[in-house]
This record gives sequence, structure tokens and C-alpha cells, in this order.
Amino acid sequence: MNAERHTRIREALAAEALDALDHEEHSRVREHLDECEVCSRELAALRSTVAALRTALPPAALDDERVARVRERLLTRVRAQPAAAVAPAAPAPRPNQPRRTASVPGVPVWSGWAAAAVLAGLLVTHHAFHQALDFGWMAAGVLATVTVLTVFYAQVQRGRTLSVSSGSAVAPTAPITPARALNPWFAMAVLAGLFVAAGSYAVLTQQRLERTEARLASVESERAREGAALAAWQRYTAGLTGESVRVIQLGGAADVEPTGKMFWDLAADRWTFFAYDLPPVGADRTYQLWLLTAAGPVSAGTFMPGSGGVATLQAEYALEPDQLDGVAVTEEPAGGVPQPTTTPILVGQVST
Amino acid sequence: MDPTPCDQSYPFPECGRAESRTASEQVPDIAPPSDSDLVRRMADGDEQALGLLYDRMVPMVYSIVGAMLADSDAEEVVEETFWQAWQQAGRYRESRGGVSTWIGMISRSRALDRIRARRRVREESWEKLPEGRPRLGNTSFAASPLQRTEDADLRDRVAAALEQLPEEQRETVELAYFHGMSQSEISARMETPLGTVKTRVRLAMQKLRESLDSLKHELE
Repeated sequence: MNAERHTRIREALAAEALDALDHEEHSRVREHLDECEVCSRELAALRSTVAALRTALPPAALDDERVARVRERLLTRVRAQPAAAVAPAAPAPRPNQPRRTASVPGVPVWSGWAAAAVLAGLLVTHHAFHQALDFGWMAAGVLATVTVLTVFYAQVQRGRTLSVSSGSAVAPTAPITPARALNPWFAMAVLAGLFVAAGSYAVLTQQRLERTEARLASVESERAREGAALAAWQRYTAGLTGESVRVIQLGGAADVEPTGKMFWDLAADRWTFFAYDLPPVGADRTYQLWLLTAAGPVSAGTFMPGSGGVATLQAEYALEPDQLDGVAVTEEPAGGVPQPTTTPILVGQVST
Repeated sequence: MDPTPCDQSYPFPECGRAESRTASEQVPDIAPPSDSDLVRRMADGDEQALGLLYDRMVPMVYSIVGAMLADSDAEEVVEETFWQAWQQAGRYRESRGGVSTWIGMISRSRALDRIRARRRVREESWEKLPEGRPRLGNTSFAASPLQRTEDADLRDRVAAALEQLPEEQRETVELAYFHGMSQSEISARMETPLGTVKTRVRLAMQKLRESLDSLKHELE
């Protein structure tokens, strides 16, 4: 033990006995007393001296009515709350002592936040992998209301407690001990954690719903595309195999042996043309399909053969059954021409 | 049989009631419980003991508190003193001092808390101390024959010990004792260096301790 420090502390004991030390000095003395029995005994003796000073006070002129009133109030208070070994109200701060925030005895304020954080984390993690809360926002709203009401109630309780300990002129209507007053920060921390958890559920639920809706929309879109594709295929095959389909065979007009076949669906006015072994044409040339009618050739479109000289063409064109004389294919300039300019390389006549 | 006359030394509930007793039902001579007995009973939850202790100690508590606070505050602090005593009865240890000393310390602590709390809330300064603040050792009260009690001699001796202090030392003790001022605040109030105030406090308490050491047992 530092002798110089011990001497300084001992010199301050008289002021400590009178409660006349500043906060810093008081703390140093208290710290020293924990390890110095000599100074502890010295302080106890000095406190007895201070206590003796009361004897020198002039006797108080007692007001019997007031004395009885205080007695009755005291006993009423005792009967309302049974005696318990509870710590007294926190003393008013010493001179130069920063104001401390009281807390639930034995429970630090940070524990409330820790409990709220742990609770929120557990619940968010748990519900992230389980069925989400359907009414998350409603639960969050309820908890927010409960939080506000609890904080308000706790503040009222605490105000009544501090008014008792700090000496407000307002007498408490019901005695409240500091230890039994709900610490508003603790309660708010716990409930804020529940609120965050409930709000998180709602957010997770909303996100899941959005993802589900997006997937549903994607599926429906895919289904629509597939449906369209199926319908197109059905029309395609119907144009080849329907009961109203007439088939026109085309053959080559020269030594080249291209062949073709035209499927004419009279009911749908749909034309499906297949050609085989068509020779390739130059880059500035194309094949053009013609419907041969009494009024003259009608262009049914241009096309280029693929590998193996195979070509497929579909068109829609309304024509009366007796108006078609035949079908022909000519080689024309790229882009097509209004009327055939070359000898057809494929021709087919409609059988009567 | 006439009612038992009211006497502070008797249990209060028995005061004023007439009881008829036969010769075979003599009431045993029960000595009034000691202060320590009352505190022990309070620790067991006996509110009657609290009432008895209140009746005994309230004059002393009012003297202490009334010298430091206004009447309205004093009444509340008196209640708070006994309430704290009720709550902490289980922690009282006779080896540390008498019950009156214990109650006296509680009352002064509560009064100091009230003073400091009001000072913090209202930003009062020591410059606003009420006029005619109480003095320790004012023998004018003790001089009245009507006010002499069996404690008058004790009070006079304590007062005499205080009177022997130099004026500045006694004033320092009074500012600390009644107004809860720290040494720094006393230094500013008296426009005296802090070191000087500390020395005055130490010397004053040393002298008082020497003077009152012989009265220790009478004060318990």
C-alpha cells in the first residue's frame, strides 16, 4: 500500500464522515477502504462523532397532528407492501458527480439490449427457414403499441419513484420502491427486439411472396409460349393432314429433278409447300412460289433452299377451289418479281 | 381499574384502555423492548415494532431533519427515514453503533439527498442559503427549563464541545452538516482556499472526536 496515498486518504476521512467530499475524492476513499481496515475503523469512529452532533441540535417543536399523519402514512405504506430487504433509493448525486442512469438492481441496462438482440436473431433465423408469419405486419403493429404503452407506464412509475427519492413536493399516491419500478429502457429494449423480429418476419414473408409470384408469372409466360407453339404446330399439321387439305404434286420441268408438294387447306386458306432437291441459286437470286389462277400467277412468297435442296414455305391466301389451276416455282431476282420472268423449274397442276 | 396512562415507554396500543383483572390474572411486569429488540422485530415484519420505534425516535429525527429542511420537505424525509429503516432492519448490526445513531445517520443522509436533489433540479447555489441557518450548539433552547429532559446535560456537553471550536471551523462543519456542501463548495462560499477548508474540517473533527469520545456510551 502506498504510504503517501494512505496518508492523503486518512486526512480525507473527516470530510468523508461529513459527506463533504467531491465525487472523485469519495470514490478514491471508498476504493481505499476496501483494502484498509485501519482507515475503515477510523471512518467508523468519525461517523460516530458526526452522529453525536445531532444531540446538539435544538429539540424540534413537534406538531402532534403532523407526527400522527406521518405515522399513519408510514404504516399504511408498510401494510401495502410487505417489508423486504430492499436497497434504499439511490442517493442524490454528490457534488460534481455525473448523473447516472439507474437500472434494475443487479441487471445492467445492456442486458436488455443483449436479450433483445439474441431473441431477434433466433426468431429471424428460425423463421427464415420455416413457414413465414402470415400476419407479420399486424404482429409488428401490436408489439409497437405494446412497446409504447409499456414505456409510458414505466416512465410514469419511474417518475413517481424519483419523486419519492428526490423529494418532490408531490406525495406519491401509492408507494413504489425503485427496485419494483420497471426500467423503461430495459422493457423497451426487449420489446424493440420483438418488434424487429416481427418486422423481419413480415419482410421475409413479403420477399417470399414476391419470389413466388415472380416464379408463377414466369411459369405462366412459359406456358403461354408453349401453348402458342403447340397451337402453331397444330395448325401446321392440320394444314397437312386435315380433311379439307388438297395435295398438289410438283415436278421438274427440265433435267434437274427437284420435286415439290403443296398442301392446300381450303377450310383455313392455308398453303404449305415442300420442295426437295432444289439446286442452289446465286446470291442475287431466289426461288418464288406462284399460285396459277385464271387471272394470272399470284406470288405466294420467295424462299431459299436449305441443305439438301429442301425448302418449306407457308402462306395464307384465300382462293376459291375452282380458281386454282396449278402451282409453280421459278427462279427470280432476289426479292421476287410481280410476275414470273423465267421458266418454272417446278410445276404442278390441280387435278380436276 | 383506571386506564393505563399514556406513556411513551409503554407499548402504544395498550395506552388509554381500561382493563379489569382478577387477582389471579396479574399482568406480568414486562420491561419495554429495547431499541435493538424493536429493530429485530421489524426485520421479522412486525409493523407494531416500527410504530414503537417511530414514536421513540421521531423527536430526534425531526430535530435533525427540521434543522436542514423546510417543514414540507422535513415531513416527507421523516417518513422516508423510517421507511428506509424498515427496509434495512435486517441489515442493522448493533456492533456498529446504537439504533439512535443508525436512525440519525439515515435521517441526515435522506435530508442531504433532498438538499442536493433540489439543488440539482432548481440550480440553487450556496449563495441562496436561508437566512438564520441553524447553528449547532445553540444553548438558548437548552436554557429553557421546560425543554430540559434527561438528555439536556448531554446536549449541553456536546454543545460545549462545539463552542470550543474556532468560529471558522464550526462554520465549516455547519455548512457541511446542515447544507450538504462539499469542501469545494464551502471553499467557494467562504472564499477560502480549498486546502484551508480541508484543514479546518480535519482539525474540527479531530477536536470534536476528542471531546465527545468520553460521551460515546451515553450517546448510544
